[in-house]
Amino acid sequence: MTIVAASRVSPRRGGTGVRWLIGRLGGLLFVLWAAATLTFFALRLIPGDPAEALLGGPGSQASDEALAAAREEYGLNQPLWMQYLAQMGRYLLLDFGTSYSLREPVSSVIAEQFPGTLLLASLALALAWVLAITVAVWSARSGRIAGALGSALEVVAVALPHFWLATSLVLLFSTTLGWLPPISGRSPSGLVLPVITLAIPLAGFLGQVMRESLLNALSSPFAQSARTRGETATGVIWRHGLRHAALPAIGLSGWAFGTLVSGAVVVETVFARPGLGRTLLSAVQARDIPLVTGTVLVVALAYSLVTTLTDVLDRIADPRLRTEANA
Amino acid sequence: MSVEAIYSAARVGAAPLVRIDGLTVRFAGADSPAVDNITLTIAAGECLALVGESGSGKSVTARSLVGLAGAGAQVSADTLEVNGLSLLGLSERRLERMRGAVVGSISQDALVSLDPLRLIGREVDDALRLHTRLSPTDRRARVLQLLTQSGIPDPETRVGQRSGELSGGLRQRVLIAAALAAGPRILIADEPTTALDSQVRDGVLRLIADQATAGTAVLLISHDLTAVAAIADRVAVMKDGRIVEEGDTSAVLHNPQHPYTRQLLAASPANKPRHQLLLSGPTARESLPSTRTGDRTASAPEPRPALALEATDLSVAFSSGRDRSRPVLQNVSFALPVGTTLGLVGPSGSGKTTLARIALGLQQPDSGELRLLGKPWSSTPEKLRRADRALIGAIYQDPLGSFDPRSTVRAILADAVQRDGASPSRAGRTTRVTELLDSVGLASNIAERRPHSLSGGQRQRVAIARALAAEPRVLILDEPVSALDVTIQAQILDLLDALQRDRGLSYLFISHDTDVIAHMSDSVLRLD
Repeated sequence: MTIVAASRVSPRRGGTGVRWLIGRLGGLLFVLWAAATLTFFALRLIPGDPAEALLGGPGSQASDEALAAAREEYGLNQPLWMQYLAQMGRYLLLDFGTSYSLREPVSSVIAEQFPGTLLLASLALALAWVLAITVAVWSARSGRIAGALGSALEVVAVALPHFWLATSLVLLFSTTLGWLPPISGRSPSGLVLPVITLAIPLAGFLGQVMRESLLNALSSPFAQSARTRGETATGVIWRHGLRHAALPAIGLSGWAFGTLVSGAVVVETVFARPGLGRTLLSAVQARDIPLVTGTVLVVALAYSLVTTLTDVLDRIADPRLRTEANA
Repeated sequence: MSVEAIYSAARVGAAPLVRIDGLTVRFAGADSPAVDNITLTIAAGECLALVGESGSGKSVTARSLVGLAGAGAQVSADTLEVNGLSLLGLSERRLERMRGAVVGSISQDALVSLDPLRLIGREVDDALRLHTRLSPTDRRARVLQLLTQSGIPDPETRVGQRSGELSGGLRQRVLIAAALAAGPRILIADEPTTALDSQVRDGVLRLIADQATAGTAVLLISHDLTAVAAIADRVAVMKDGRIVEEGDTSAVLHNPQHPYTRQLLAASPANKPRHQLLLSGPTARESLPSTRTGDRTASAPEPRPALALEATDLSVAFSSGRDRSRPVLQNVSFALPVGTTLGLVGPSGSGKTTLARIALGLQQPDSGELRLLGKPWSSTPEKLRRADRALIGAIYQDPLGSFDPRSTVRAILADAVQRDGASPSRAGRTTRVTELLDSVGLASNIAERRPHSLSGGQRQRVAIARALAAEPRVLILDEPVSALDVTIQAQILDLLDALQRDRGLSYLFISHDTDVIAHMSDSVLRLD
């Protein structure tokens, strides 16, 4: 009986805030554990000897003694499951180890590189929202041709690969026009091109979702009803449409943040910008297991936190999620 | 006061608030105009009802009065005036200033006409914010006053809620409050009572009638003749964009001149005794199945149980949220004798659907028992029950959602026949599909069409045919005609009645329309 009856009751139960938070926390720990485990085993699957990577890669021509010593030091001669358990134990004590390639504690490398990437991703997300809302509102206001044009723009934007976009922007704004630096240092002007590169494909994606739900909201009976009270077309968009349009986009923003971090790998490399993405890329190339795992964990943590944040925002924007659905 | 002033004051008092002359509305790409050269006036304090079936142009006429006829609409008229203001060639800005201030509108679908994300108070405040210069404090006071006047209890709580927290009746009252906020002299109510159950409907109608009494010119659009009879002073009947008959309410309803008006009145189930056919004439015959003589005598010998459904003390509670359980059904008992109809009425949330689900064996009662055709049903384990599932079927309000849009009618019915297991051969299935279509009054050429290309009435007939495929003895009819126009509704009701007599079917008939229930039921169960 319970299955049928329970599905009649609102499946998204309000629940108390504390219970909800505990649930989220449990989910977060699970995600972190899964990320750590997957990374650990995935890196062991790459052909080659980790001890060799430890000593500077295949080109280093390390002696057998040196390799044996390294294996001994890092526990690489123990069975895989022991290595795994030892690794997990260290993570529990918040010890992320020392980077093979940089000879620095992983935690300090991440602390140094993460803020720049976070800033890049946040700005790109904000810009993507502004672009998406602009295109959605413009095409909703200006009729069918504008709608088709907006939709086409969005499809093109979504399809643009980051590396191509980055190179084209550098060619246009740095090489030809000379407005902006091609190398992104720590200066604010260096942020412009990387942010635009990341924002444009994302804006296309968010725009598609927003425009659809905006048009749905504008053609719904409640929008019509507002018009009969004397609300202007613009007023209906601001007071009714945008909130409905934002709902699905808020949910997607958590996912979008994840793609932005993976996009940062490309963008930081193209613009020679210090950051977590670039660190991750070189760490993978160097088979720097502690650094890769540490970076993946931090990204997974950030991703989970952002998803939780979007869930909270969702509940603020959509009161229906807070109260139980009325029978 | 000068003579001229007296003259103009007298003229304003006498002049109708709504004047429509020669209004024609065409939509791009349509063959014929949606509204074809109609002429109407409504005086202050008068309620004019515009009746007709969907597509007759009622709503387009109403929307033209606020300049919202829709995208691609070409509106032309000799006169189109509200409160002395001609709408012809008026700019969008001036139309916006007029909407809500001069003409208030109550829209068609109360359940979805409030923004689910916005506070009730804001929705009611809209017209005040747009059309008055009141301070926010004064506006808030006025909103509370409007909600009170519209019969909403505890307005202080309600202003801070959203439409999802309100019942259908309260939502409609909020919409009325929002429409009246800026004190319009003209009120348009487009089907204000659809989807409301009868008690709520009467309250809403009274509220609208009060506006007319207070001097507002009211345009009521409805297909519900009971509603019209209750509050309208005059009635205009629309068909295919034209007004075919117009006059005082009692004259039109009691002494209709035009054949179409007569047909509409005949189709209404109000005050029609049980088993009386609603429609007569050749069209009605055609849509009814050919009578199956001889069938009854053939199946008569087997002993039949006296009761199709028998419920004893059914109780169901939903556990909602934090271990608090909400009773949905409490000690409900009823008996449905074979070959009869039990009407099931009650406001939304009263457990009608839950009861239907128990009858269909989709849900277990917490306590009590339901017996099907004399045998235990709700207490039987699913394994044993499956064999008897074919005995009971269901027909719902919107069949479209339960049809695979890519299937043809033939595929839909053949599937139902096959599941029945009775006719394994391909030829046998084809014959059976034709038989089923015939039994619901559909021509066999409809078999190759897809559900979305059918009319609402045809779809409901296909749904009935599908339910009949398994040769059920009991049918649950859950609002089967609520989405249909009166004449189509009458055809379906006549069909259901004929099927019941031919096959000895028993119906559990759920509806919010008391006229339909009264016409169709042998006994009525009310849930509260």
